[in-house]
Amino acid sequence: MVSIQMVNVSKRYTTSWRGAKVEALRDLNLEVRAGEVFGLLGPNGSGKSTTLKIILGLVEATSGQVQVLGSSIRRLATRQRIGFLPESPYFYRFLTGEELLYFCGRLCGVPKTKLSQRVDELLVLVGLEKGAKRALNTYSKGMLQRIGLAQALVHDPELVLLDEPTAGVDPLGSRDIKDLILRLKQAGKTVVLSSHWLDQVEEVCDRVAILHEGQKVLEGELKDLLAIKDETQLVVKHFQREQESEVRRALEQLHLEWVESKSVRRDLESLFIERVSK
Amino acid sequence: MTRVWLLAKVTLWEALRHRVLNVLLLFALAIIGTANFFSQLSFDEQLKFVKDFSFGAMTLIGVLMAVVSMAQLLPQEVENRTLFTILSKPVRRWEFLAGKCLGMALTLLLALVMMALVFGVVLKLQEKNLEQQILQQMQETVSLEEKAEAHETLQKIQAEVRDPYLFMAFGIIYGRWLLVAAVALLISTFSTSMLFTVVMTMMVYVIGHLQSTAREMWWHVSAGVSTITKGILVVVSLCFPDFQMLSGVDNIVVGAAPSGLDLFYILGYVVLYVGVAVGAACLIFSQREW
Repeated sequence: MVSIQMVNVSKRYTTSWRGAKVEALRDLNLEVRAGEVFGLLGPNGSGKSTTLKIILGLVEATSGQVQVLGSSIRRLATRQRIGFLPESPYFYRFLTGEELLYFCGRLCGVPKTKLSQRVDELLVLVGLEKGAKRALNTYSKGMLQRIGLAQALVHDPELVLLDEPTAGVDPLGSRDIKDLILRLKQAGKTVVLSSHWLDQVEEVCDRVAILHEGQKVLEGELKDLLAIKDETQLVVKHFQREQESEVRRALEQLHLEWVESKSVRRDLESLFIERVSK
Repeated sequence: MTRVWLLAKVTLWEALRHRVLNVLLLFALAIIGTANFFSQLSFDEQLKFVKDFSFGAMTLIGVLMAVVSMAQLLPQEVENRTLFTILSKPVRRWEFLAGKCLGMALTLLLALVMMALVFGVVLKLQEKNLEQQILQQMQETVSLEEKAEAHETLQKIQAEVRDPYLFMAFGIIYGRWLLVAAVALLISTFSTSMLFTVVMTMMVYVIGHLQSTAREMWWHVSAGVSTITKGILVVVSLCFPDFQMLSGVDNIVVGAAPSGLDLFYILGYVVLYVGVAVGAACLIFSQREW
C-alpha cells in the first residue's frame, strides 16, 4: 500500500513580475509506503518544504502527478486523513493549549462528544497536562512543538507530516518526540519526517530520501543505505591493547581482515538524558 | 458552516484582545472631550455638533480600523504560519477567508455597538446638562414669551437626542466600514506587503468619493473626451465603490434623513459590493501560493 506517490513532480516559482523563475523541484519521484516512517532529508533550499507543501496541497506542482492516500489532496476527505506539524509552529497565541486542540479538533470535524476525551489523551501523550490551561504565548519553544504535535494528531490521522519536529526542543523533549513517532508507527500510522538532525532520523526512519537542489539524489531503506555490507562490528568487554596482536592472528586464521579498534563511547544525548531525567 | 464560524470566532477573539478596546477609549475620549467645548453655540446646535463630530470620529476611526485589520489579516497568518496549519486541515480556502471576513465584520459590529453606547451616554449627559441650563433660565425669567421660547428649545433638544434616525446613521457608518474592509481584503489577496494594501485601500477610499462624479461624466460627457480619460472614467465607475452614496449621515445630523427606500438601496449596494469583492478575493486567494 502506498500513502504518497509523486511521479515526475516539478515545481517552478515565479520570483519577479518579469516572470523570472526558480526551479524548486525537478522531476521528483517519491513513494512513501503505508505504515512506515519516511525521512525527507536535505540541506536548506533543497526542496524539502516545497515537497511537503505539494503533498499538503498548499502549492500546486507545475508538472507531474501527486496522489496522497490514493486520492487528490484537493479533496477534503483526503485532508481529513492527514495531520501536519509545520516548522516552528506559531498558533493563535491567545488560545490556551487546550483551546487550540478543541479548535483544531472541531476544524477537522471531530464530534464534540469525542473531542473532550481525545484532547485529554493528547495532552497526556505530549506531556502538557499541566500547561493545558496556559495561553500559548507563555509556552516555551519545546512546549509549542509538543502542542503542535498534539494538534496534528487530534483527528487521529492516517498520515502524519512533521516538518522539523524537534527543532528548538531540548534532548529530553526530543527523545519524547522520537518515542512518539515510534508509537505512531506501531499504531500503523505513516509518518513523513523532514529534518536536519540526521542522528534522529537515523533512529526513527525506515526509509529516507535525500534531496539536493530540487532533485532526489538518494532513496532507500536506511538499514541498507548505512550498512557496510562486508564489515561487522564486534563490541568486546575488558579488551587490553596488548591483546591486539593475538586477536589479529586469530582473525587471520579465520581469513578475516582487521580494520580498526576503538574505544566504544556513549553519545552525549544518552548521557544528558540519564543525568537530567534522574 | 461550522468551520467558517469557528474561524470567525477565533478572529473576533483575537481582535478583541488587540484593537477594539483601544479604539473605543480613543473614540470615547475624543467625543467626551469635545462635547463641552462649544458652549457659544445655541443649545440645539451644541447637540448637532456633538452628533456631527461623533459620527465623523466613528467613521474615521472605524475606516482606519477596518483597513489596518484587514490589511494585516493575511500577512500575519502567513508570517505566523497559522495559515499553513489551518489550510492543511480539511478547510477550503474560501471557508478560511469567509471565516476571517465574518470575524472581522463581527469585530467591527462590536466596535460600532460600543461606540454607539458611549455616544448615547455622552449625548444623554449633554442633554441633561443643557436641560438644567434651560430650566435655570426659565426660573430666572418672568416673561411668558421667553418661557415659551425656552420650553420650545427644551423640546428641540429632546427631539435631537431621541431622533430614531440616529440608528440609521449607525447602519450607514457600518456599511462604509464594511465596504472599506472588503476593498482592503481584496487588495491584500494579491498584495505583497501590508503597507501596499493600506496605501492602495486609502487611495480607493479617496477615489471612491469621486466615483459618482466619474459615473456622471462617463454617462453624460462624450464629446471632447480622450479614450484614456474615458477608460479611466469607466474603470472608476465600474470597479470603485461609491462612498459618496454613504454620506447620508451628514443629512441625518441636519434633520434630512434618507428615505426608507434610499436606505434599502444603500444597504443593498453595500451587500452587493462586499459580496462581489469577497468573492473575487476568494478566487484570487484560492490560486495563491506561499
